[in-house]
Formats: sequence, C-alpha cells, structure tokens
Amino acid sequence: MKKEIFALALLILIFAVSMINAWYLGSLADEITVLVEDSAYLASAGQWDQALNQAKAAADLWRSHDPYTHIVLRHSDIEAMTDDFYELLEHISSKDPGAAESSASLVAEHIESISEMERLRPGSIF
Amino acid sequence: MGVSFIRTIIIFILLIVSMRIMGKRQLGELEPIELIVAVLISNLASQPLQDVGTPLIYGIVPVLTLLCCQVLISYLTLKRSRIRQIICGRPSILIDNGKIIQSEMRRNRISIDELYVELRGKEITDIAKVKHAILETNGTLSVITYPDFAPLSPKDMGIATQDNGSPLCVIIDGRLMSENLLLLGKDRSWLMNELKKRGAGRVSDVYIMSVDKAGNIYFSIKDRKK
Repeated sequence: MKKEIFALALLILIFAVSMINAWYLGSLADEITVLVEDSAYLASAGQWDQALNQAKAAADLWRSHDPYTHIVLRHSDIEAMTDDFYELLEHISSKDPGAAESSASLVAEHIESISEMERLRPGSIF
Repeated sequence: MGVSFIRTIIIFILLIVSMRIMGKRQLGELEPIELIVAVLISNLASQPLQDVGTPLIYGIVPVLTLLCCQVLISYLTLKRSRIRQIICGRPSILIDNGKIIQSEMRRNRISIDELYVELRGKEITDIAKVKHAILETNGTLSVITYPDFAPLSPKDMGIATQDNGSPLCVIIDGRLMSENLLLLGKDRSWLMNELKKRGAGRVSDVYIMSVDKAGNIYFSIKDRKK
C-alpha cells in the first residue's frame, strides 16, 4: 500500500509542478511581452535610447532565466528566442522603425507561443 | 511539462483500449498494462537520450507518470475484479468439455490452425484429448486434457514417494555455500569426507555439488585448465 500511496502522491506532485511551471512560464512571457511592446512603442515614437533600454531589459530577463528555460524548454526554442532578441536589438540600434516593430511583434508572438504550448488547452494537448 | 503529463495519460488510456480491442493473442506473456508500459517507457526514455536538444524533463515526466499509473492500476485491478476485467479482459474458453466454441475463437481472432499450433506446443496432437482450452488474459493458452489422457502420476499408480525437498548447492564453482551446508544440517568435516570419497581434495576442485534432504548428492569436478 505504501508504494501505491507514493505513486499517487508523485502523480499529484507532477501535476502540481506542471501547473506551477505553466503559470511561471506564462508570467515570464507576460513580463517579456510588456517590455518588448513598450520598446516597440518607444521605437515608433522615435525614442530610440529608451526603446533600446526596454529591449535590453527584456533580453536580460530572458537570459537570466537560462537555467530554468534549459530545463523545461526545448533548446531549439531557446535558441530561436535568443536570435529574435538579437534581431530586435539590432533593428533598434540601426533606428529602423518598421523593422524594429516587426521584430518586437515576432519576439512577443514567439514567447507567447512557447508559453501557450505549456498551457493545458485542447490545442496544446492534441 | 503539464502537456506531456496529460498527453502521457491520454496515450496510456488509448493504448489500453487498443490492446483490449486487439485481443489477447497480441500480448505474448505480459498483461496489457505491463506491455504498454514496457513499450512506452523504452521509447520515451530513448528520445531525450538521442536528442541532446530535448530537456531530460521531457523523458522524466512521462516515464514517472506511466510508472505511477501502472502502480495505481495494478493495485486497483488487484482489489477490484470488475476493474481487472475491464482492463485485462476475461479468460476465453476456446474448448469447453471437448467442444470448440467457435464464437470465442472468432471473437479472439484465433484460427483452428493457430489453436493446433498452441496445442502442439503443449505436446498435444489430438484435439479430442482436450477437455478445456482457456485463452488467458496474458495471451497464453491453458490446456486441460480428459483424465484418460492425463499423464500418470505416482499417486495414480499407488506408488509411495518420498519428498526429498529441493537440492541445495553446497559448492558452486569452487566456492563453499556455508549457509546451505548449515541448512542441510551438515558440517565441514562431512563435506570434506564426501569430497575425498569422490576424489576431490579441496572445495576449489569442485565445479558443483548439491545435496538434498535425503542425502542424495550431485557432484561434478572442475575441468583442469588447459
């Protein structure tokens, strides 16, 4: 009976940790999206320094979660996200408003899709 | 992680249903759940091993989920016969009192040729000798012959037998099994005496020596190294 109780407890624990993970990834995605959207707005307003700061803050936030992301996300997704960030920073540095805006929306969409994959919805399960 | 967890449970349930639909003949000697878990675990574990870009957690979560499901379902099948019937199915009687139950043969998709193959595997060449043939939930066929064709036992012949118990190995590959010697109620001097009688001077000269409760000895000396 001990083995069965342990199995049930482990199953509940895995489910709980999965839920916490989905929530944590979701809130990380939200934070990054806010910073990136801010950066895109500032870039469109021609405030390039502030836009660059916001984009860097978003990239730093993503990089600071490296140990976590490498455990729970596919490494190809992490690399693609990092590439998107480099592209955004490059376009803001070159002061190209159209490119900066499209790069920002690409970053936001990408992180949103990564977080979406972890949410328990029919779309992500099936 | 959560998606892997739910997906694993869905696939697990789907495979149980599939195995039940496929029938017992696909199972070999495993119960449906054992087969599913064995097949799935080996596949799941190999994925993160082959692709270093896949985090280990993608293998760990489904494997642990399957393991827990298997433990819990095994417990439920042990405690509730109804659940056992649903998951593992019921044994199917293919031959009842010498009569082949064709509907059961069809239901289990077993041809008469396959039934003969199974019977021959049990050294039965004449189906008329079979009283009952039962296809067990793990896919094996249990056969009960008519008493007229059952092998004779000493009891049938009225011969008294003596139970000598299982022989215990006292020497294996030159090593003395002191515990077994103790269990047989013998000591080292008895052993050395027996070895001398058989031309072995030391324990290390013996390849195998086993003794039963009646004192019957099986002895084999080690081959000399070339």
